[in-house]
Amino acid sequence: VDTLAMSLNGPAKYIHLGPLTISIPNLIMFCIIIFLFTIPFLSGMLKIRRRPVAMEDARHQNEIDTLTLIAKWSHIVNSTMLAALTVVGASGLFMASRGLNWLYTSNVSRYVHAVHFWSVQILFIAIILHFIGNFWRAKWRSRAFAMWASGTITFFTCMFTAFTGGVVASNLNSQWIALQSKNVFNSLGVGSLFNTLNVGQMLTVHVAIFPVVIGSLVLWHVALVRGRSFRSPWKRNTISKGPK
Amino acid sequence: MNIPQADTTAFVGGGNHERRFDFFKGYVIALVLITTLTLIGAAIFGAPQSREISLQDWAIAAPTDFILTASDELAGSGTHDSHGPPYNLLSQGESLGPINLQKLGGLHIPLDPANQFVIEPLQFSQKEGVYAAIGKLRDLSTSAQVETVKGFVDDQKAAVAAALLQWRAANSIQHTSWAQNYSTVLEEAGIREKVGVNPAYGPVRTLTDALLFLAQAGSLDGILTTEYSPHSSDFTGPSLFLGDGKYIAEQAKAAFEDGNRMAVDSGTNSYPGQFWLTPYAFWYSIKPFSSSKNADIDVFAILLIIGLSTIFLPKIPLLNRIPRALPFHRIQRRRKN
Repeated sequence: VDTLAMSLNGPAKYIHLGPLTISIPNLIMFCIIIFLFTIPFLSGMLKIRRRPVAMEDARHQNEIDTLTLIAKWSHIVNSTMLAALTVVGASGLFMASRGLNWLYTSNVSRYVHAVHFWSVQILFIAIILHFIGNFWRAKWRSRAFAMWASGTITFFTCMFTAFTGGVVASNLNSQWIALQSKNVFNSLGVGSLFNTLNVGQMLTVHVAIFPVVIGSLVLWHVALVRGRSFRSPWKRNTISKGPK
Repeated sequence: MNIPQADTTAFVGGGNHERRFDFFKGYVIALVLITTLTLIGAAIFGAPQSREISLQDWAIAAPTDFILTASDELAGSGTHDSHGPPYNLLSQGESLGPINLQKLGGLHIPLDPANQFVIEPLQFSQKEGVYAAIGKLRDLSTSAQVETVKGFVDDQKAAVAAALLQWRAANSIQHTSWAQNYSTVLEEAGIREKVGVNPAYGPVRTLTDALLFLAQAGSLDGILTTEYSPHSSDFTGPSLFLGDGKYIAEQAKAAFEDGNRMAVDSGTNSYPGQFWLTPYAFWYSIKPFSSSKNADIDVFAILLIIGLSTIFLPKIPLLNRIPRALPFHRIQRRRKN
């Protein structure tokens, strides 16, 4: 497995945009997100079909086509999110069953670690796309506040869980992050309840407590979304103002 | 007229489109694709690897920094001496205006760096008769060599025993004075071998040298983690000691262009990190937070406001109109006739 691995273990290049310092790998992830976000718009713009229809019909058709594309795109993003979460959970469960020191002991352990690592990256790309997509469509309209709130809370919980995972990853990065971020928890007065330097504590939080919390939040969120969408339509053609 | 009615039904009922797609079918297809993608991606790109720094690594790679840090701990001027709760009550810690949550949190991980990091490990090693040279004993073949090293160990043990006695007999003012005298001279000299014997250092030189040997042999890592249990997973002690030195900060700076930056979003080597935390880490690099003593609590307060605003966005006037004011949903292709 290792022979296939491209060497990403050299030092990263960082760029400075004013006060913002960002590593090239992180920047690439942001670019991927922006690119994926524009796909429904781009594909809509590129795919120009000619139809012999009147101008106002055409405008209406455009609107419907764009909405259909965005709906399809959202469906793909939503499915990706849940699928990535499943892969994260499965690889995480496997790693948790083998213990912390197993991480760097063999090619198999490094490979499972890599699967966990990359599925987390995909998960966050999908969550961010889902988040900004729903933001720009103001999906909280029509009394969907609980849906929005449950989603954002799940997002923040995922971030925190990923952070605890980063702290126990047993490398220089996790060591330094733990050392820096302990100050944050200390400043909040919870430095001993949440001691980032205590690897045992962080690992338990990461593999036992937060997966249960995230699982419950995701179930709640999905139940809300699915519950709403199974409701019968109560108003037809609210968006479309095309010709009757 | 060519308007597919089926499409319009997708957006009724508050714009929910999910009902027109098969939820479980989508999930199963995505699961197959994402699993394949991660299995291939993991094989191509691998996982981040970079070894953590142990006290042993530090003592071998940067002995002067190690000794200076140990000396600072003896002087009571280590970084974490002035950290405040939960380690000690010598300072208030960070506060947000009049609110000081750090102080409110109280003393929960009592830390006495001079004793915990230097004196007690040396005392422990006295008791057990363990020294760096013990590690060398294993490699010795002739009995004469073993005797030589044993002699060295006995000399060391006697010297450290005397130094510990001298240290315990003195008061804290004397401790600080000895340690500071030694630190000043060592900092100028650069390496410990260049510093001569001087009564102004008291026992500090002997103690820090012995601690260095202990760390170089790898014993200190064990001693600092096994205070309560021989099978510990709590690295608070060694991490705080390591964090007091400059070595780990230099290594982090080289790896993540750290500087004074919060590096929580940095990846290991050329791997992406927790890029979703970049909007959090960003605040640490702008004024006034970049030079603030209360940066952690200040930035957290900002993030808390942003986080709560995001959760309650639908209820916040103006903010909930942003998508309407900036109509991304209006972007669509122009149909040609």
